[in-house]
Amino acid sequence: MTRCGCPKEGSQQSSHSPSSVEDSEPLVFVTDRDIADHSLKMFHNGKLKSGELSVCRASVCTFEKMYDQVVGTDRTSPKMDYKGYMWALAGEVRGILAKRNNARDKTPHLTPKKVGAFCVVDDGEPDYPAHACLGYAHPSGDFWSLHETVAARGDLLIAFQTRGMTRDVATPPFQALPAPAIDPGSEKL
Amino acid sequence: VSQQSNYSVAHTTSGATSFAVIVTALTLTKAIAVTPVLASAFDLSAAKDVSPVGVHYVSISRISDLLNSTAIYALLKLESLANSYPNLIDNIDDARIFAKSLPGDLVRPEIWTDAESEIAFEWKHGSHHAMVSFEGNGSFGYAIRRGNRFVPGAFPGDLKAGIPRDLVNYLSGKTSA
Repeated sequence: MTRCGCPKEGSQQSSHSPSSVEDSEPLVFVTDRDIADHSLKMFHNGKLKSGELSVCRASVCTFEKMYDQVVGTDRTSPKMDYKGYMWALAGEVRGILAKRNNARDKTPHLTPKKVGAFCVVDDGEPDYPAHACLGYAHPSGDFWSLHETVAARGDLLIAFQTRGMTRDVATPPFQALPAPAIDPGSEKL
Repeated sequence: VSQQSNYSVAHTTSGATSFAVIVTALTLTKAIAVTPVLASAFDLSAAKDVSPVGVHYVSISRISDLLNSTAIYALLKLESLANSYPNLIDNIDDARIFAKSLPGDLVRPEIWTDAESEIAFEWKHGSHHAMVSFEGNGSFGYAIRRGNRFVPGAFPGDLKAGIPRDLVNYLSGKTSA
């Protein structure tokens, strides 16, 4: 599968990120919708076009850190109506394909028939190194038909729904918390 | 006959056909509020218009059909979105053309916008899930969930052609999810 639309995947983009995003990494998508209300609206078309749909790299983050960043630390005034999260592997997101639009492709001989629809790019922030972004591999709309981008978004929803939705801390996808230090004195009894 | 601030009110008239008084019922009032849309959608301009304030006369059965139809539901919803999101007027104009083609008894879609770039019609019932997207470029895109993946629409997103046959069949249960 080609990643020709995602050159930023090849190297770390933010100095605050631990690394670029590996295929094996779980990506957490937080939602303000109950599972019965899940919709393609959750995957905001404008943000996908601009490559700014936020996800959390759970293997380098704790649930608490993610929650504080996305929902906020002020429980009386949360940033969003948190309903839970879903997760998928970066490789699964990258594995969603879309067929190129032959009619609009000016260089058909250079382009494979199907390409990865989404890029997964690290976007670590000073207080949130695990932040990453999803975006269309080809946001202009000339590369593939609108049918293809709608279908790709549907497949993105399915990829995240596959493991169900969770509200609380879970490993996986989040890294396990270090075991609490044992007080040597407590073992004397 | 009266003229409200932003809509016309029609009334009965005598003749061979029964005509409706479309004044009092709330749903009817709502419908009248988008009379220009209805007129363009269902060729009401051909209905008898004898009033200086622009009254449309429509048969009772026709009105009932219109108000219960998915198309009217969609047009009313789009009218509301047009008021809230003037930046998406191109998208909404495209969606209006599409909405007029919806069969009256089709399952009603959820109609939403991301407020920036898209108007969407989304159907979710049982294992069926489909979406039509309007980005304001004079066409539309759609996809249908079949099993564990979404399949791009089989027909071009041609507004003039109306709702594609594969989507209608899917939503009416003639093809499986």
